[in-house]
Amino acid sequence: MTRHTPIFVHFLAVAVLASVLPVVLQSPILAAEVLIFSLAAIGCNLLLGYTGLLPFGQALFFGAGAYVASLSAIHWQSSMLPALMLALLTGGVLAVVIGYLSIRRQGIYFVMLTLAFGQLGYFIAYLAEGITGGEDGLLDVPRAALDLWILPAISLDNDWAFYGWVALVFIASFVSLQRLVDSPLGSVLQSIKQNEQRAIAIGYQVRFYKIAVFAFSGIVTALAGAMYAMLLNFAPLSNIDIETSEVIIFMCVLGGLGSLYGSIVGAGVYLIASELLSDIWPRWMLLLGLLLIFVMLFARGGLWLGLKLLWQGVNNRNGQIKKEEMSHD
Amino acid sequence: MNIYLFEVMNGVALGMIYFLMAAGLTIIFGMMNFVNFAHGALYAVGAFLCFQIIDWSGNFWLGLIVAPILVGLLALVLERSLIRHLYSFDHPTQILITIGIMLVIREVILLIWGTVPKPISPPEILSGVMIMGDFVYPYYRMFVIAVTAIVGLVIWLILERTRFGIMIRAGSENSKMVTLLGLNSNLLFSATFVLGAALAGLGGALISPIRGADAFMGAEALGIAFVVVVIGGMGSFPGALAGAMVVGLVQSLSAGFWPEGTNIMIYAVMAMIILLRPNGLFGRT
Amino acid sequence: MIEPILEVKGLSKRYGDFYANRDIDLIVMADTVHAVIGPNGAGKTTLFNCLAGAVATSEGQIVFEENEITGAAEHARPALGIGRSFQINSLFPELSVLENLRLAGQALNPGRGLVFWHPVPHDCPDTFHAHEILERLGMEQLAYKEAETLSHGQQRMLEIGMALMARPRLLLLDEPTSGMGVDDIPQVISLIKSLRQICTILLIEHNVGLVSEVCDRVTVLQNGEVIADGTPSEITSNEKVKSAYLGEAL
Repeated sequence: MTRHTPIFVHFLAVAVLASVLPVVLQSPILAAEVLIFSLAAIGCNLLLGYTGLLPFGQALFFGAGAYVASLSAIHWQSSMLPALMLALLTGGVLAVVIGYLSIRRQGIYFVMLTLAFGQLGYFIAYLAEGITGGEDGLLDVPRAALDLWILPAISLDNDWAFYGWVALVFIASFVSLQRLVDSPLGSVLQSIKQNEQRAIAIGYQVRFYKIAVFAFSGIVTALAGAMYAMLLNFAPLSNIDIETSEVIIFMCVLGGLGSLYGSIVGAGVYLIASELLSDIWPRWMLLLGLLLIFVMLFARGGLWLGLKLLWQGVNNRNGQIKKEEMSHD
Repeated sequence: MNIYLFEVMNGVALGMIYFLMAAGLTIIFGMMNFVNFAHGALYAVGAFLCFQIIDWSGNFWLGLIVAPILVGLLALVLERSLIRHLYSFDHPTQILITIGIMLVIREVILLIWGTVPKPISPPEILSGVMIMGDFVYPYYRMFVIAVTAIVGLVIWLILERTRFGIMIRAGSENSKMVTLLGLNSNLLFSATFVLGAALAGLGGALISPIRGADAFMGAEALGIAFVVVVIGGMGSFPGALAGAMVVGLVQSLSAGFWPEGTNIMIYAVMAMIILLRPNGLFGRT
Repeated sequence: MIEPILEVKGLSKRYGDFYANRDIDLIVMADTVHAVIGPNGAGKTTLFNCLAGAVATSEGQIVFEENEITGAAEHARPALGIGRSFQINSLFPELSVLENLRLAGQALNPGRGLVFWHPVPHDCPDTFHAHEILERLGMEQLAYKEAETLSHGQQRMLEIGMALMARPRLLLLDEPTSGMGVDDIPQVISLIKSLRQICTILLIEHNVGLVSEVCDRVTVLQNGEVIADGTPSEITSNEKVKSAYLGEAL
């Protein structure tokens, strides 16, 4: 059994990160985007990095979350919490259904099933113009106010206020999911990833666990989609297309499989790179492709592993310097 | 009636292009258990090389013949340097790495040829339309059907009648068979990969006078090719032909009355087939 | 008093027209060590997989402790009291030895694996049990090493240890010494001898020394059928068995 880092350490780490991020990036909007896509990448990581399932239709949960939250904000003027709750519920239910069907097949067939369901979602959203706005997407999505029981409602129209809310949701989700991957359930997922046959032989009903992890993945991805729509005041059709599924996978893989922090790094690097590079050198995706090949071949730990090694290297050197100083004394 | 005939002919022409894409994908999968998400990028490379050769030489035929050969060479380099090390990996890893390759190829295409799709015109002799009574059909599309039919037949003859073909069939039905028969699997795998890639390149070159050469054309074609392969049964060459015809005809015929619904039907059918008949409609149960 | 713990009645396993097992009858008495032997391709592994639930039985019955379990799911069998090991090491390679064992213990109680709101406790009963098993295997000092870093022999022992975590009353061992060096085999023999105090063992084995030293009873398969059944000394003198193994060293 591995010793887990205490949960408050994780809490502190992401709390510090979430406070520093918008200052460093000098933009609450970009910072919110990073946190939101971190959640989506984490949703993918639960499946790919922790359970060994490559999902090619994550955009379906992301898009569904965006549509449901937007629709409830537009038509029912619902406040923030109910809107997000509805999105979570939709994501969870969709994920259970799609998970239940997809895990009946393995390898490429599993991937093709998730792809097919994702594409079905896309074309249905495209056709259902009356509900989703079709190609134009849902315009003028209001940022629902935060209405907590007896407290006065807080408007989130200000970008900094909205970032604060996104950061709170992010920290809560991250800490809960870090706890999940450290939990007994998380250990079962690891065993499935490493050796599914043995996991069954020692008594785990693997299908059930896979559906459970799908549910968590769908929930957190839909949550991300819902907040993304509120951030943009807009739920575009592209939220649910295959490119979004791919981008989520890229973030997850580049950041590092099997580490929630990796997903933050992956989402951050991807979004910041596309922000900075797409004007200077529109062909930056060339580097992304090369990096993807490199990570999959030689460094499954991704950028997060790279950062860790760098940190250890620096520490070791400092340690050595200290030792040398000591020996001089 | 004639409008239907027109759509049927279009469906067949489209299906034949899909067949070229899917045949390579399915043979490579059957033989090496390798999932190649970069297959669509090779198809796009075929289209651009065809464009470039025509641009330099002014000769369409040269483009059509040389482009697939060059794609085959590119595939040979890729296979020898990188892809052969991936055969033993699990599918998710293969998929992610070949997506990386696809991105690299696509961006290189954009670097060389820019973001504006390149138009290509068919040669003089094939431009214009054929008129038979009140049935009107472009010559070039007739040509596409004829060429792919001949290529398909040649491939089929190779698979059925030559030693190389017997090895490929043995290998794609049971990849262990190759080693059991004591064949040089390295060479066979390279040859299969190159053949599959060249077919995709030919598909790209052939379709370029109809759709132009577009760096993003590979992604759509890849999606369809996977649907075709799933319908026909992964690893089955005749299945790829049948699946391609089904998809081409469904797409072309439904374009008349419910064009938006076509994709829904295609993906719904794909999901149902994987769930209910994972060996494909034409595969063994 | 000795009673049968496992009864296999008329078990057949078909793949298309091919019978991997045909009409097999087998009785394993409680508190014995029972071996299934046979030349390569005799159907030993297929029989084993039917007993463990890894493949579905085509015909016949499997009765365990007087309950029919023919159709029981593979993942349900450890909880029924049947543990199995694999011929080719099948571990969780990147997890620690202790975690490999703990996971096998946790699996017995499905509710425990569903807990997602708190970390794996350091003092859970499965961890204690895992330490006990490690002690029995003589591998305490390896508890925190990753499984893939162990030697082949140690991995073979861990393989058996994972099956033991189910506290099985019937332990199925698929060639426990396969791939092991001669030096490691005595360790397995003494482990099996010590295990017979706590459970019944059914094993597939090629190592004749092991079979004759620790087994009470031997069943011989050939071409998917039982051709002999008896004590080790009866089997070694059996003419049918001798001819079945002609060309192979028994």
